[in-house]
Amino acid sequence: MTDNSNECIECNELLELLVDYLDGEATEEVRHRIIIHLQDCPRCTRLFWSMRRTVSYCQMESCCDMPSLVHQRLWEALSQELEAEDNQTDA
Amino acid sequence: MASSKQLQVAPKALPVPDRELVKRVQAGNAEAFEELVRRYERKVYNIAYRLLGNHQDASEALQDTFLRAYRAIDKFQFKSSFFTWLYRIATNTSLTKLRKRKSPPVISLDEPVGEHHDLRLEIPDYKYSPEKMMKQREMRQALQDAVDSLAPDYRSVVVLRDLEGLSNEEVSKVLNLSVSAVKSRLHRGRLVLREKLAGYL
Ligand SMILES: [Zn+2]
Repeated sequence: MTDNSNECIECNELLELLVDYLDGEATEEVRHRIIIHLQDCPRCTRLFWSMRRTVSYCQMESCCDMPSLVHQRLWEALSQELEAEDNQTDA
Repeated sequence: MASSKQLQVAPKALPVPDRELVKRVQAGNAEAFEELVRRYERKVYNIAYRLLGNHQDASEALQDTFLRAYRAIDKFQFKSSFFTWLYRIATNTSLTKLRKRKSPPVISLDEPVGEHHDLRLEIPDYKYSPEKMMKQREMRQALQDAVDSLAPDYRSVVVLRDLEGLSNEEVSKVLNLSVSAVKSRLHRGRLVLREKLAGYL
């Protein structure tokens, strides 16, 4: 890498701020700084877009299907527990 | 009585709030607990599955979570929402299980990630194609593999925040972390996911 240190600090800073920016929680001032930086820094721009794709993919892909057997087992375990409790209270 | 306009929006009775159900359970009503299970079993399962990466372990963690919650519900003091409390049990149960595994397939995140890594990214010119469905399945697997590769502390943050859609605030409550710690773990976790998924997105 041949970046001068100034640019590195800027890029590092940007990385720190990216979480808020991607989540739409950055302040106006931070957003402005990020946009200015991205205009001049192709490397961060690439990073930004790939992060953004990653995050939206994750958010879209949230649900895995719960197999019905899993549901069944859970309820069996629960009814045992609840019955055991009942018996204790009755005794 | 509600106005007819409201009735159109909500024709059925409003669902009983979680905290009301918890109070009923605490008063000895087991059916109220069953309602809570119905409300949250899928979400808890998702968290466990994402953290553990397979249905067998996730199924066990799901059972343990609700059994623990039932046994501990008398101590619930309404200082947080029921779901953050429940998700905390789910996360702890899953992470304990994860740590007990013999050789966890974990990438250390103590090394700096990102900035000095190779930031170049080759984006495949991926358009709609007959292979799209297969690609999607591959991607799903790649996502789970990427999540599996995260160290537990990062994995829990990424799962709750990005996959389960909790806010930073809520994640910080579930995991007992500061919001800034959540953000920094989230950032590092996302950098890893991004690298692993680069070929797919
Ligand atoms: Zn930059």
